[in-house]
Amino acid sequence: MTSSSHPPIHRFSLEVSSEVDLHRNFQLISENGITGSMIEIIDVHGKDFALMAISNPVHLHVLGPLGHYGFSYNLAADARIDGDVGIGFGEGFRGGSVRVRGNAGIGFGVAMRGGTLAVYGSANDRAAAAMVGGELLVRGDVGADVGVGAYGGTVLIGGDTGPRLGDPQGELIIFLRGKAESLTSGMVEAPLRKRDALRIGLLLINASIRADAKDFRRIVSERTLIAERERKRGEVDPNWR
Amino acid sequence: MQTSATCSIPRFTGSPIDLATPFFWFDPAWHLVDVERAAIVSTALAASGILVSALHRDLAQTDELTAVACEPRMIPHRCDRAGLIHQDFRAASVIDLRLALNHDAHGRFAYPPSQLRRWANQEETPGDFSIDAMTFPPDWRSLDDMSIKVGQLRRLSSAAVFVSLDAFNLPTIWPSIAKANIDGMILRLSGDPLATTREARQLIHASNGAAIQLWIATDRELSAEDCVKCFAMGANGIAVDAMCNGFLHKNDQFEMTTAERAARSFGYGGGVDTDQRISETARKMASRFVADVCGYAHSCGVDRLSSLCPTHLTRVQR
Repeated sequence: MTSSSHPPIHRFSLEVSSEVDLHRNFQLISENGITGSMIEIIDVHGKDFALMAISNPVHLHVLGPLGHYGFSYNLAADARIDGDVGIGFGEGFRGGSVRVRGNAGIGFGVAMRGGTLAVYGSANDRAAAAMVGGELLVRGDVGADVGVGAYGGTVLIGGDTGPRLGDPQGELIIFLRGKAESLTSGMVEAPLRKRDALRIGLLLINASIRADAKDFRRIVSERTLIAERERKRGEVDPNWR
Repeated sequence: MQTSATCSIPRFTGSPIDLATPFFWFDPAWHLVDVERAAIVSTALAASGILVSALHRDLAQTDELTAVACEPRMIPHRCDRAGLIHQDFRAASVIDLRLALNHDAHGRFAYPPSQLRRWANQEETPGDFSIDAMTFPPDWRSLDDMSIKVGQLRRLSSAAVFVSLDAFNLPTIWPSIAKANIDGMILRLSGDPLATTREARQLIHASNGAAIQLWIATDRELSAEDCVKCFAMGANGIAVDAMCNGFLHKNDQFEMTTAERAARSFGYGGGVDTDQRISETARKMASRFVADVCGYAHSCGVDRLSSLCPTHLTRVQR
């Protein structure tokens, strides 16, 4: 019998439950309105295409590594994953938040549109590729071509990056604490504004990452920086903020 | 007995997908018209048996699944997943995994601002800039990851999975396609389609891939007779973009005359409004074209378009 002071725990096995069954159960649990109900996913064993397109606001704890394209097109779930994840994790992510306590393969968060993805280890090449919106955080290092083809969203990197960081075509914002091997042509380091420091602080709290916001630098496209400097300021939007 | 235009796409897993005709609109530039016009054109052509390629956000302003009435539909899965949302997978009959790029109106491999705005929802606010289209999926380590991607698409949707590519790339990409267990291939051709279609079909047969559908998209308009020849050479589906693209450009024949608009404003119900005109024109045009193709095929002595083979072009049927 569950103690009234702890939220109930449901447990599902990926060996036994099909994706259809899982989604049906998630719907039942969220419709029952049991606040804070935790769902444990076991027997994971690096399975590919797991837990995709979840549209119910459930809380998941995945006990083990996931394979490729896990949590693609997620709309609402909050999840924690104990292990590494494969290529294309979080593809098309739209809402909710997922934290990976491990490393991520190539294309982490590819084409994400919203929500929050965080990896506490390192991410491989082309993380945040084709990103449209949302927030992507990597506590460790990332590989090459981070943010290639991205035109929106925010990326926060605690470690070092490989070559060609960012994409100057759109409005991607990168906050970097470590060293970048090189920036893509058209990307520049910009001063960290007060609002950026606040934002970084919130991102770090959200992802449960301990760091000081002022250790980060802001990297944006040259066009964005020029537009910022040319924007008219006033009482409501002073130039010191 | 008339020749039937119906066709069936056998799938690697699952039941076949049945289509009314083997014709499809491969690459409509939906951002050239407003959402309402796009919805009318796509629904009318789909009702006439043309498989229309469109994303949910090309045809609707909300993400409600019921907001799009166009069925059947093909969804373009571009390297950068531009415009793609989860609702697309649930509504698709065919997924077009695109490895071929298209030019925009200025000849660039890019998405113009109007197209990006069309694909954005209320939370996303794209600026007034264009974005270069990606030339290779950023999450693939190599072409061999195609099979993993196809596996993901099969899990997300019950649609048939096709790969589209430029014909000149076929020798390079074919080994990966052969291993990926796809349901079909869309070849983008330029110039005369017959020889390329025949070579592609021979390549597929030589690799024991007889079940793989071969669809072709040419850069020029094909007549009904040309289509019959392409079917005989091994094509299973043919793009009719040249015929359909006219609905995305301003055309005075669809607009109401001044007199008709005046009568409407006074409450007289006579005349046909623009949307109805477009809808009727689309249906008539598609029906006439399919009937012409079937007529030519019937003269070759077949009861189904899928029964055409090269000997039908060289032998006289008594």
